[in-house]
Amino acid sequence: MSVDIPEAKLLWMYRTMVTTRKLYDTMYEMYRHGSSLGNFVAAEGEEAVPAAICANLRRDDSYKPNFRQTSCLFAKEGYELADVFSGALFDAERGYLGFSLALGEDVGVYTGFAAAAQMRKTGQVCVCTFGEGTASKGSIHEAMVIAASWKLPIVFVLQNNQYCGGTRYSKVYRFDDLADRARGYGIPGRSVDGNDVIATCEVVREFIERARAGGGPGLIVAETYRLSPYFERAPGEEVIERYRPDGELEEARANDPIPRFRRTLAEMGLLTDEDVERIDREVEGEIARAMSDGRQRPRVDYEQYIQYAVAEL
Amino acid sequence: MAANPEATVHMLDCGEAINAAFREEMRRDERVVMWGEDVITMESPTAGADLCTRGLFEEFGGDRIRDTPVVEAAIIETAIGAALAGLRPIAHVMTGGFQMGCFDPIFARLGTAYQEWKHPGPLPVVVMASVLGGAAKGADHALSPEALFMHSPGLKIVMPSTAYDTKGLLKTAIRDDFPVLFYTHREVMIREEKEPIPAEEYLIPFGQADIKRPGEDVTIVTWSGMVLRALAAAEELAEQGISAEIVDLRTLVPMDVDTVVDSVRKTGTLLIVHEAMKRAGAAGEVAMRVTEAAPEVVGAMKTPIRRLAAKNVALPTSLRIERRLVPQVADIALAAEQLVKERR
Repeated sequence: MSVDIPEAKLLWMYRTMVTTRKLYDTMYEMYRHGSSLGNFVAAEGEEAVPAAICANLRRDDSYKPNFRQTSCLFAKEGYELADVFSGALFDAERGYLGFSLALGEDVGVYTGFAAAAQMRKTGQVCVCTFGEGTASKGSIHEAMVIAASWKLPIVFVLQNNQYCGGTRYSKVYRFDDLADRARGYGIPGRSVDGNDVIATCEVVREFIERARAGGGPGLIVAETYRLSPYFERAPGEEVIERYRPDGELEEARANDPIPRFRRTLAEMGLLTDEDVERIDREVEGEIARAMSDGRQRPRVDYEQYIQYAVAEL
Repeated sequence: MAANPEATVHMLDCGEAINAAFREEMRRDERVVMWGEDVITMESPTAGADLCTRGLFEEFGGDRIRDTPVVEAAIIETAIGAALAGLRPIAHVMTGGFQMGCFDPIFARLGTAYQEWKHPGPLPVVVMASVLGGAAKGADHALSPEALFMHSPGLKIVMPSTAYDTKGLLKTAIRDDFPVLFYTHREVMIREEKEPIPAEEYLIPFGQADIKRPGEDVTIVTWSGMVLRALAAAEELAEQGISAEIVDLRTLVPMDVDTVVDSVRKTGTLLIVHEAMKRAGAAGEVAMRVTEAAPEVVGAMKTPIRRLAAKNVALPTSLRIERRLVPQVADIALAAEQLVKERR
């Protein structure tokens, strides 16, 4: 098997995917024990996509992960695991401009980052990820229209995890390949097996290089599968997901990108069973330390939060 | 104003004043950029003046000023992203009515982004739009949306009534580190008489109302195009021996309540006039702010606070009907006259 990606980067992507998966476990435990509030969302089974993206980004590039993968920012150059636990992720210098839970309303914001990069000729690129459900939003259409019109350095990554809430995408869209949409905007589009981190990395690299060289935006559709429920329930609440046909989840687990990549690396002679165990142990230690460090960092307090209130409170 | 008007004053209309403000600020700070539908092509981004952006593309080029496709939401959202990346964008959305097509980007992204997104820092975006009242343009063009956006926590709202104020407030808006919605009004933009504008730079701070006409008998608080009608009404009232004080708020957020209170203390009356619909309109906020700030002044008033605003009906494309719905000069004069009669 010939792969045009350095060995060190392949192993970095593997470690990143393992870390992403283990982060979910840690954060879910925190959620179960009341350390964090709100809904807990995870994206088990989708770890290959952010790893493939971050492997191709500069520190000053911009990256918006899919909303359920915000914790993946640790993998972007400039960020570290402790940032995920401190919650202080917002930083335009490192290219993260937050996200909107009104899904899709942030894609235009990241498009604006790309506009600024182009106008100031900084060579920065933006990679903006959203799901196949969010892809229906009109705001994304508008963002893609202006990105194409201005030839902005942005790569849209439509991460198709098959389900928007409980609705399978094939019940909504009247075409099989979501990348066909790119033709309507006059930009390059490509579908890729998003559970194949090597293939995804290569496509992402090609699209980022083109954008950085002034070739304009592109649309990548990464086909993957959400093994996690739509959101994790509070302790004591049972997860019932009637929307998945019998046997589908088990079949999808057989295509889990992490064991799949592990097998590929083993076949390439880059990863032994001992390596796998060692990486698992190291990553668990890193996460534990990051959690401790991150949670000791100062939090945004009330006075800071209100400091820029406009006029009267 | 300067001593020698010949040397230091230009006679400008509102569009020329806006053009001068854009040009001065784009020269002063290369981070100032602008985009919107037809800002280069039609030279008419604020729909009502032909001159607002004339010559800017030639001077500053395509990395500073751009036309966009018809994508109102993306115009606002890209301005937010570019501002977070370090630019100071001016986003043009033609009319207040068209802002309904980018309501989420304005109200919820621009108005809350730097708070909710845990970004405790600047977000310098100016959104320009026109209110095209008084010409039967219908709801999508003539809507005056200030009350909707006053409810968003992070938006300053500017609605000037003269070319002089427009220039000074626009320069302040462009230098503000936080989001500003800037509304021009058709009736201000199309005025034929030019105003003396100092050649020397001046800025007008937000939150300072301006008494456009001093008076003793009745306080009329208003803003934007309705200031012109209120001034015309004051002329009619003067012929009846009624002296009306016209307070132009100029900015709704922040709001200069003190100037209103001082005027009410003097006249013992308060009439709030606006072009937008009355129900949940900004007049209610003005009345309540005055009441909270100076209950003793309001308690001593000789008449209750009154508001005069558009009827709660969609704006028509018939001038005959619009004139019945939106306060006209005669309506303002009549309402003020009644207040003065009640007071006596």
